[in-house]
Amino acid sequence: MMAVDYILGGAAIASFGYTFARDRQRFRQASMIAAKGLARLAPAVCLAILAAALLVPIIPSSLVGRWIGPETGIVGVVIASIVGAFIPGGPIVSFPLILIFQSAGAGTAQLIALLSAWSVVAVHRIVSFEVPLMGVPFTARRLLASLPLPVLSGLIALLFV
Amino acid sequence: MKETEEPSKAGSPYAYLALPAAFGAIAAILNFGFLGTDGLSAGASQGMKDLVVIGPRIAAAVVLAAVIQVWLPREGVGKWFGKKRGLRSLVIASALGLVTVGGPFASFPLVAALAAAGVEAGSLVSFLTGWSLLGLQRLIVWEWPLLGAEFVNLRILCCLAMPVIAGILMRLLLRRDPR
Repeated sequence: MMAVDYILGGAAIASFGYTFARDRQRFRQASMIAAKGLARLAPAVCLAILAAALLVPIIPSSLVGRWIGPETGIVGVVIASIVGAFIPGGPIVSFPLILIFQSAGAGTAQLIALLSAWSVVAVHRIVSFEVPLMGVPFTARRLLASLPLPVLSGLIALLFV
Repeated sequence: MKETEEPSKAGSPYAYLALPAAFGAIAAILNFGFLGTDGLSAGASQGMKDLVVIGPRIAAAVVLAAVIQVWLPREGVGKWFGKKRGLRSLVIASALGLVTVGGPFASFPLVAALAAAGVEAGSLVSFLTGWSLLGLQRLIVWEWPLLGAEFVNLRILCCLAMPVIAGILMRLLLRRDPR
């Protein structure tokens, strides 16, 4: 067990208990959301973790290391930002990939840049939500304003690692 | 956890599992091709070990996210957005993005409504960036359980200023080319 287990477990139990004591209607609502979420996530998470465990041994860590390893510095941060921008799909699809990169030797700063790029660019979200609801001019400007962020977050991370 | 949740289209309710299942199948085939049955059983047992560690963690995270979701209703978010253009409104918008739970099905209609109500674009970009980059729900359900607290905490630290920076850049872009 790691600290994260105690913190998450403790927070879940405490907040669930608090909700039960304070507001039964919210408690029922939360129970339903949690049950639905668990039913939905359980099979996907099992598949994702299994897929990652199966792929990690056959992905040459030298390949990941050469492009976005800890030694690649700023160039690796830029490469990771570009890779991250092209990962489509929500977390169910993307997190196994990110797990694989992490296990196969990607550097911390590079992985931070990759996650940032995946978060702010999110091709799948642009196509299905942003352009239809916000229009092309807003989307184009938001993308332009967001473009430096992944590299910037990776560079900040380089100062810490 | 809501990113891929769609208002149910016609077809199987398990359609969202198609990609993970395909991914798992491809992983198994590749693993078998390179490493044979030994590799397959080693990978499967490693996966089981990971699952025993990560499974309960995600279960706790889902419960926590559900409780947060019922105490932080989305309806109230709009009244926090001002029409002022100071730095403060960008910070508030970023913070609201962080605590807004739910996937794009919830966030984008909200942003569209705020835009129609006259909230300026810099705040909207700060909100969207805060939500997508540091959204509490993804942090709790996916990142802490799967990637580890040490990595995720550093990531949060490195990204904390980004939503505000995005809002500032958006304002600069609009100043150069207002339309």
